[in-house]
Amino acid sequence: MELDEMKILWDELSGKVENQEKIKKEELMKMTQKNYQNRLSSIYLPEILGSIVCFGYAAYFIFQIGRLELEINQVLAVFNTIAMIILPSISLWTLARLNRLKITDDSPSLLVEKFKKEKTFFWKFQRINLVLSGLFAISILPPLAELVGKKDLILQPTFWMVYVPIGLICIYIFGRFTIRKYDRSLQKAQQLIEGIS
Amino acid sequence: MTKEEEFVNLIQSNQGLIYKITAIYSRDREQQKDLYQEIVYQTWKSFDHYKKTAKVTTWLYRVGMNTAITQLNREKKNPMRMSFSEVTIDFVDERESETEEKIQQLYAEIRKLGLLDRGIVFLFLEGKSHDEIAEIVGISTSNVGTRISRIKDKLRKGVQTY
Repeated sequence: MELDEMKILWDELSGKVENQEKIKKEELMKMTQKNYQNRLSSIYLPEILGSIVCFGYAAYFIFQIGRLELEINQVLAVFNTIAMIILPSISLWTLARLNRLKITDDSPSLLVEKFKKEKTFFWKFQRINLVLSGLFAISILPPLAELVGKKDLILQPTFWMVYVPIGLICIYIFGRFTIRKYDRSLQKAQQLIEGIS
Repeated sequence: MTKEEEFVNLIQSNQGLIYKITAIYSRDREQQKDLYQEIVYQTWKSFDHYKKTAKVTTWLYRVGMNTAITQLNREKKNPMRMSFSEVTIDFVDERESETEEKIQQLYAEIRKLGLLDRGIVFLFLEGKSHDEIAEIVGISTSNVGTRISRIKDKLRKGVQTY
């Protein structure tokens, strides 16, 4: 079919579709709202739940810090409280930055460029997050132990020989799993965006 | 006028445009309905930003085309389709038209093209200038000219590229 022939047919089609019945406002808003809620819950829900747990623990430490007698545990409790407030907040903010990237606002080439920039930022934060998680996993144990009445825990060799290595191994395994999962998701997202250009 | 009313007006005034995009990027009526909903959703999601752009139709063409291409790529990688059965959309019934066969042939010809070329031919058929096409698609004006002449050749020869 020649392009000129197509143009005549297209104009005919355009006239026809312009005359079709207008979509109703209620239907339009219903389908938009439904789609919006589905996306929002699938993206934010796990992050929000994780953040609530962290904020809960932070609140627990804030209220219980007065019960800690050992100075080192007080310092560790402050560190952990700050970590449990700052880390999830940054995580949510990073996610919001990625989510803010709208496939509709820019030309395809600019979109790929912006995505790569956001992805680099996201990875940098995740690496820092992983290191801090390791520190966090170890440093949370002594103040928690004191709060449950076992303040001499850090003096016991089993703490250093068993708990600390197990904690670090768990963080390593979980971190690797998370990083791989993120990597796959980001690769898929990038392929999706690159498919536009 | 509230944001919701503005949005509804925008969609109602441009539903023909959205319909045509969904027609050239979908293989069947179900996929077309899903794509229609996706474009409406993406329009709503980025509705606050459109006022900053020069022309609403330029923005809407871009929303529609980018969404269609993204959706198609996503479905290629993950064939599971998301559907909202409780929402019904009444599309124009082309079966009643005398020119139905020709229109179906027109769609079939366009669907043979690659995803970006489909968008370019769509904008060309919509009467957009090379400059406007370049702005919407995000390539140079000279590249638009080159692509259109290649598309003409492909259509003439009936070459399947997708």
